Amino acid sequence: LLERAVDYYRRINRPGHPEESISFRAAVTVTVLISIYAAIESGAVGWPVGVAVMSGVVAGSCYSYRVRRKSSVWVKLVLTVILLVVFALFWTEVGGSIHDLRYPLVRLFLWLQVLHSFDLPQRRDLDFSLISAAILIAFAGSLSTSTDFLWVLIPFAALGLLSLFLGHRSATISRSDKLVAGKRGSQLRVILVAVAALLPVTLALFVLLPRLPGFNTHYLPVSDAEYTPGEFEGLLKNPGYEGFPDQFPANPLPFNPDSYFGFNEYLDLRVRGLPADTTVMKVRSAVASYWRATAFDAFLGNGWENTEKEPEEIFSPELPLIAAYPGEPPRYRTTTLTQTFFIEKPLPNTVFAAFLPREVYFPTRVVKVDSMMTVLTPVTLDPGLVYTVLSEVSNAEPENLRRAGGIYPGGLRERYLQLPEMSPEVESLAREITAARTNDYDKVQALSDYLKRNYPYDLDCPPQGNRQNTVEFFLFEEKRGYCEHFATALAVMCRTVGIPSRLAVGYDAGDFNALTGYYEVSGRDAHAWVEVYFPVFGWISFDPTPGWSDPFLSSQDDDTWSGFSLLRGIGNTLSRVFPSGFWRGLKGATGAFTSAISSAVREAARNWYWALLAAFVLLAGLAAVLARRRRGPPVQETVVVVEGPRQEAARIFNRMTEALAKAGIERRPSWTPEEFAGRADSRLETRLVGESARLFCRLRFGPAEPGPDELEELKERAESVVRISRDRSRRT
Amino acid sequence: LKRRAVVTIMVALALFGIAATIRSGWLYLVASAMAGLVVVGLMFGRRPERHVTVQRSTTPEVFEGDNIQVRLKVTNNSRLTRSMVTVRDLQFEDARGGTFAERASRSLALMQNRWETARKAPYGESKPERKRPYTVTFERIGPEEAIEVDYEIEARRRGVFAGSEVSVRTGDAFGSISRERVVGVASETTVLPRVYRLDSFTFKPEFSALPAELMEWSRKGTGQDYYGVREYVAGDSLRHIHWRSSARRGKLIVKEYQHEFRPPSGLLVVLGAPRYGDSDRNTLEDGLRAAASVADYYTLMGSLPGLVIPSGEWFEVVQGLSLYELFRALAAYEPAPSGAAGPGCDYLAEAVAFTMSELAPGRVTGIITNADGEVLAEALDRVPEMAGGALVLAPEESYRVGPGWQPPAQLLADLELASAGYRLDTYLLTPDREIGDCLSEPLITTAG
Repeated sequence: LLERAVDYYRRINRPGHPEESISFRAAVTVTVLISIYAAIESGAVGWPVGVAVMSGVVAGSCYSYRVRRKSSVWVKLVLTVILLVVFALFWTEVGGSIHDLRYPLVRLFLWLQVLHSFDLPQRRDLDFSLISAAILIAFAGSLSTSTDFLWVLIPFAALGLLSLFLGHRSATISRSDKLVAGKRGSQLRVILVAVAALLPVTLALFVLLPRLPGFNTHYLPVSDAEYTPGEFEGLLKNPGYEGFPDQFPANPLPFNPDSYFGFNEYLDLRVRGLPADTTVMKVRSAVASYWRATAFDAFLGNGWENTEKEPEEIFSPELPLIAAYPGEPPRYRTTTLTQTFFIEKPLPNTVFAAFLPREVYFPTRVVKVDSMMTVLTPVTLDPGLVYTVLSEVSNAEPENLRRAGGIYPGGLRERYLQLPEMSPEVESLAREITAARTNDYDKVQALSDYLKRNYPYDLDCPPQGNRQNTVEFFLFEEKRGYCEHFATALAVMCRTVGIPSRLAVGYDAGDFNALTGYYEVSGRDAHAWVEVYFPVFGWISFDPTPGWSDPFLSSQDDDTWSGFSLLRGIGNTLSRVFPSGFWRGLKGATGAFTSAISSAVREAARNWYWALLAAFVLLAGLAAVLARRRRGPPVQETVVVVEGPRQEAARIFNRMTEALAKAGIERRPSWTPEEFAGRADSRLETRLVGESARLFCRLRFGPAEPGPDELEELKERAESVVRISRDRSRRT
Repeated sequence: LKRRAVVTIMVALALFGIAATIRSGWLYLVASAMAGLVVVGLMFGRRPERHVTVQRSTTPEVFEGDNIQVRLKVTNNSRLTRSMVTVRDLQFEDARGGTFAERASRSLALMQNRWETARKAPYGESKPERKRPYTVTFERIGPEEAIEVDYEIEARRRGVFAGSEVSVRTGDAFGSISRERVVGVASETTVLPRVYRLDSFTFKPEFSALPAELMEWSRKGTGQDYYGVREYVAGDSLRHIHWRSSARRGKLIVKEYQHEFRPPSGLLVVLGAPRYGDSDRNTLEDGLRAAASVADYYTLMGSLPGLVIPSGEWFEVVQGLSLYELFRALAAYEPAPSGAAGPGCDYLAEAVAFTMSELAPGRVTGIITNADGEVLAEALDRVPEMAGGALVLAPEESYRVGPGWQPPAQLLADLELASAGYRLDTYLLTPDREIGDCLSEPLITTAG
């Protein structure tokens, strides 16, 4: 049995037809090397290991070329054994990192590339190397958070396409007994044309590919290094505002453009300044949301303060840390949203996440949570930190909120209806706006709409008085402002009409980068909005700032068609080349185009039956056009009124032309009868058509009226041509 | 879609699934590029071969196994350049098309054949190259450009080929898609059966050369002495038409010869459709090679034989002026009507009787058939005037069993019975031996 088994193994491993093309082999090897470089760049392996892998691939490829005609059974056996060991190591590694399989996978593919490079005798083996390299670079890309990865992907694509072309050429030539070589450089033209077609097709597919929800429950990346707190005060510490008191200051805080002044124990509304436009973090999330840092319950007139100074400590020896607060009221109609945060600039010690963060995968064993569900970490968030949060996001519909009612948790109304002394005009205005509304939701919406409609957004708002009430300053004096003003005004007006509310700060979703798949959050995305309490449904976010929409509504939109945002990115990039006026126009145009397409696709997805019908009609029309083209243009029926022998001659000639057209020899309108006849004769290898054409021209257009004998002669010749044409049609 | 495209699409789908799971834009991009590769292939490789026309001209006549000179002219009639155009010469290729069952059956047979070849192949040898059609690849054909190529192919199969087929294959630049179109091309070629030069064979001159004056003249004489002219009647060879006289009289006139004679030897070929073997080695093809070889031998002995072959449900006599005319008749040979066990007894008996009546009694000097032994014995038994000569039998069973086949006792008994009294030397054709070897030594020799 062993002998038979060995014999069978030898038989199935008989050497096939080796790949002889050195250029194909070289192109594949370089493509593989680029994919390995991408893996190194993405941080999956270090440079020493990467260089070793590259050397192994080069050595293996050279060895494979040398032994391409041999069976190399023993080499295959050794490679098989090593491969089994590699798989065992892979599964072991997977068992230890179930939250992120990409690193073990990249390492597995690196091993595969090295091992496989020692056994590349045939073309299909090299094809497998290419496929493996494509998978490797794709995973390396998934580890990359930067658009710079494009500079690795472009040479990879170029070399990969060249490899495919060379492989195809080699396969075709090897199967041929004779090669008629083309001109030098003609193949390059073929590749360039194909690449020129591939680029828009790839772009179109990328844009049109739906971003489906996938299975994101097991993909929960967390940084390896664990943060062990030395002293954990439970207060929000902003690295940009170190050294300032934890209490609301008597004078405005100095503005620091590198850090948002709202990420403190208080929000000083007297501060003015524009944050720096640098990326502070990147977020991977299925849905755009507001990445909330903290909230404030007490309005001081010229600022807000978080009055809760002793949050609850949450401890867990292993992840996740479940963020829960004693006495937390239950919430209904929620859905889970997974978000992963990649920190790029120093940020305060709070877990940025969509409201309400529930399961926190953070490299620590302890966090602190207050009743407003601000999750504080023991250390500030440093660049390079990665953490994941599973949030319970409300998916309550406006109709649900309109019917919301019931009992408020004890003390909630008192705490979130608190107001300092201020002008009664604020309450009057609020009551006037909400007079016709019968429920809290409609009242909040009316107030929000009023602010959006009547107060412009302006970042150049002048400073207010040191002790001046911000709401009065905004509503009645300056009548313009930015997000903190709008949010404060809405929160205060809600409180004046008896609706519990508070102010939340954090970052808005940022710009979605379709290439990386991340929301790129800039310092300028720092934002403030309002949370309003609805019994049963909990705290719901509203945003009264013009240009922003309510987070609880936008969070119900998915990003299935977010690929279209790439168009906006391309438009933005291109527009930088042109003058600013054109820039704005182009940006607006691309934005409008993107929005239009995106909305159309989203609507089509919602009303899929109409979309299906439209697609069916479109396809049917397309099929009809194609079928028409396939049949060729309709034969023009020549209606000739037989009035005399000249028309008879035309009729005979037309019959001949139609027969030739059926045989594939069509007359173009630009051809004279004799030109057409010359081409037809060369195709049919006869002279009959030319003779017929000359006779036709003489009879049809000559000075004398043709006689019956001449017409008969034309008829005979034309019929001979018709017969030859039919024979030709039958043969082909 | 080629295998490369299928694999590309599968990997792209897998990457798309992973991209959806981990929400990676780069994964979406790589998946899109891979899918785009196939889409571009479909766009470029959709029907680029349709504006490519092929003309083919060949050597008009050649012996089986010899090389045919082929000239191929490929023209690109479109306004766009065509690259990597592959033209395969499908003359002598196995059957194509047909119903699904026929195609499936052929594929199964091909797989079995490959498996057998692989199973029997010794270790250490490379996998054998499959026999494939002659293929020419044109790296580039410009717009309205025509390229001519000359090459040689082996005339693998006997027959009269009024035309042939070539396949034109093109595809995209990256080998994802290929499209093939098979077109018929007019190029007349006659492949004559392979002739094996025989050193010895049964040739009994005593059965030949009856005095001419004892024979009733046929109008279809082939003598050399010109006698006169006469009116054409159905059956006269067109070769004998006297055109000048025909033109003068306004009707067909043929030349008549003074000393017409019949051929001194005759060859009856009754071969039914083969049941076993492959397209090259089977009872029909080997039988025809044997017939050509025997005719060659008879001619060498100074006697151009008359040839009797099936013609529809009946028979025809081929009396050529040269051996080549007999070869042409054999090249165009169509299998005799036959049942499950080959040509039937009645048909065979009628064939022998027809031969004797047409070529005069006592002139049958060779019978070549693949009929069943028992049927053959019974058929010959019905023809008591049989004079004698050679019987060449191609038993189907030997082609079914292959090498190592031994004639069973029953067959030998039948052949003994068939040859007894008719003075027929019997030869057997088997696939494990060359035709020349089979015909050099009779299995059964009769006295006299």
